Amino acid sequence: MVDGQRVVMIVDDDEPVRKATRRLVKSFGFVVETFASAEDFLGSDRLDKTSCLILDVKMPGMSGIELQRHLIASDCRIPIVFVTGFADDRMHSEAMQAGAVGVLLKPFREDDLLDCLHLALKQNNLNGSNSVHHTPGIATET
Amino acid sequence: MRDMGSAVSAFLSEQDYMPHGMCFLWQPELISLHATSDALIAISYYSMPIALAYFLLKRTDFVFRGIFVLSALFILACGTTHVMGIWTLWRPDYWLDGGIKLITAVVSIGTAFAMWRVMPLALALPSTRQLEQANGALQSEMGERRRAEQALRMANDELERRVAERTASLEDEVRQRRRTEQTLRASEERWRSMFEASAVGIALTDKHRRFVAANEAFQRMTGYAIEELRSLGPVEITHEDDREATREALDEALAGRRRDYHVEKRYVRKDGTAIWVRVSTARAPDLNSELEGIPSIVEDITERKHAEDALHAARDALVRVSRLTTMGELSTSIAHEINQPLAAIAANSSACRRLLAGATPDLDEAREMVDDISTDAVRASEVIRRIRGIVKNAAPDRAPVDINHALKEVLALARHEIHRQNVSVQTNLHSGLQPVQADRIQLQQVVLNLVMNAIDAMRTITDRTHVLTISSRLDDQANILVSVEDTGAGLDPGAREHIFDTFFTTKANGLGMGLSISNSIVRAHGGHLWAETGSSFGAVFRFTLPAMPQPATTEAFGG
Repeated sequence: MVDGQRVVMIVDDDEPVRKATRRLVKSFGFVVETFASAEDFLGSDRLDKTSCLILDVKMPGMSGIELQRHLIASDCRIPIVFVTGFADDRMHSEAMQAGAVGVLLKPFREDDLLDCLHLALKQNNLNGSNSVHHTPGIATET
Repeated sequence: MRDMGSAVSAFLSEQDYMPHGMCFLWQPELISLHATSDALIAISYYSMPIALAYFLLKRTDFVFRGIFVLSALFILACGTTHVMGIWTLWRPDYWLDGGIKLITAVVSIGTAFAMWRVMPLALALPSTRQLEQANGALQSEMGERRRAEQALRMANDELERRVAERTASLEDEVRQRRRTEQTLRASEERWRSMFEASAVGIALTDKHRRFVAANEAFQRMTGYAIEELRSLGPVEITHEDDREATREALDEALAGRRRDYHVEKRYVRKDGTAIWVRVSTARAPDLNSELEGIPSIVEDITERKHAEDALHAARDALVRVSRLTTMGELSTSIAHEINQPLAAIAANSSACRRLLAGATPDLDEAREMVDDISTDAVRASEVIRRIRGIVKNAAPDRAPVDINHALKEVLALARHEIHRQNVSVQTNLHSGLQPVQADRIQLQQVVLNLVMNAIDAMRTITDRTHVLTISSRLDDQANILVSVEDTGAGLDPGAREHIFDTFFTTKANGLGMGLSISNSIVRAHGGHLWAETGSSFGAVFRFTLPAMPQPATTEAFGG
């Protein structure tokens, strides 16, 4: 990765989905990095380079929603686009209320993802750079 | 008198001789000796005929009376000669004396002659001892005879007593027999009335497999009158599908190989409609006995059969619904599991299309994407196939099932749910187990239900790892034993008694159907389902299924 470049991060436990999503986002012209779990992402040093997070909801260990809560609690305002395999109204509204850019139902359409990404990047530009006040404790555990 | 006396005296008075005493010179001593001796001899001789007369008088039976009379005369004569001896001492009447001696001689000779005559007879006469012996023998014989007579009399008495006794007992027997006959007649009447009035059908079948008797209920049930039934038999009125079994059972009963049998089968009524009946042959009597034919009790169980069929259908439906309910609980996971490959397919195809739209597309990368699409399509179809395998609306059908294969399929189906609930799975499947004769779908439904319960039981556990352990092995009775163990909250002792009850649930959103239905499925397969407390935490549910004798032949899943 080129240092300082804005990067779209994908966190999904399902390897084929992660790989396919990465190809698609890359085809949009974004720089992409992938993580197999929320813990892996938090444990990396890439949080401040993240301009948008494509986050799976259901994952073993820390779920997507828990990661969102954790980031908010850490005052880390990365725009998040949720992708989920199963529609859950409660989860949907919770994610949106917490400031998610969008919740996409798998399988999602490329235009919907692209729209969400544009929206996220616009939001990210308004926010400026992600401010990380402290490293989440969980990172040390992974 | 004087003349006569003078004649005698003339005879006697030839007194020319001298008295005999003269010869003794009249010596008084010699005269006394002769006179006294002759007197004593004469007295003795005269007493003897008296004794003999007395003897003969007493012993009238005496045989030799003549001899005795002769002897008496002879002795009398001898006595007289001695008297004459005394007489001639003083009076010389030697002529008289000689005459008397002559008479004595004649009598002596007669007596001697007679004695010799009777000697053989006298010798032949038994002696007193012989007579005593004979008498003794006679006595003992008489005693013997008396005893024999007594024994005979006693035997006779005994015989009479026995005859009397036997007569009495015969009379008693006759009375008893009469009573028995009365009782029998009453019993016969009672049975006959029961036979006639019975609500269940009763029929008698003879050795030619023909009905010989049938009551009203049986005639009503079959629609045939007794006259028609006499030309029919149990085989003829039985539904063709059950006829062979009926024929065999009847043959066995007639051959005496079977004392009784109970069977549920179908009859075809005269009007052609089929009815379900339960036939009970309580006793197949000896064909040589007077009881004619095999009696059968026949109940019309058509309504019960229909109710049973309805119950079975309802149960099957319930089992299916319960299965779908369980699958419904899995739906989040299933949807997720299908949407994962679909999402990958959609993303890959979009990416590929965008790639190909470029000026110089990297075809290798495009090919790689298409390969991934293909792989994910297979992945999605696998999930669908697994679901279809368990939710398909097939009628229950039993076939040999490899238990380990069935368990693995269930784990694959619940894989995502297990994954999602942070449960780790341990399998301990014994290889080379015999197959079980089972409806695979229902069997997997039981396992899935137990797995889902186990996952659910561990949902709230935060202080230990969630471990689901599935094992299979042979138990002591050579049954297949399957165990599903969790590290959840365990079983509440109060709830444990009721966990298999219908509508009993400890879950907030549970229906209380899963375990009840699982239990009924296992039981219907000849097995047993029970719960125990887990080895460290949680609960373990175990069930057994009878193993089939032959080695496992893997049955394909789904289809």
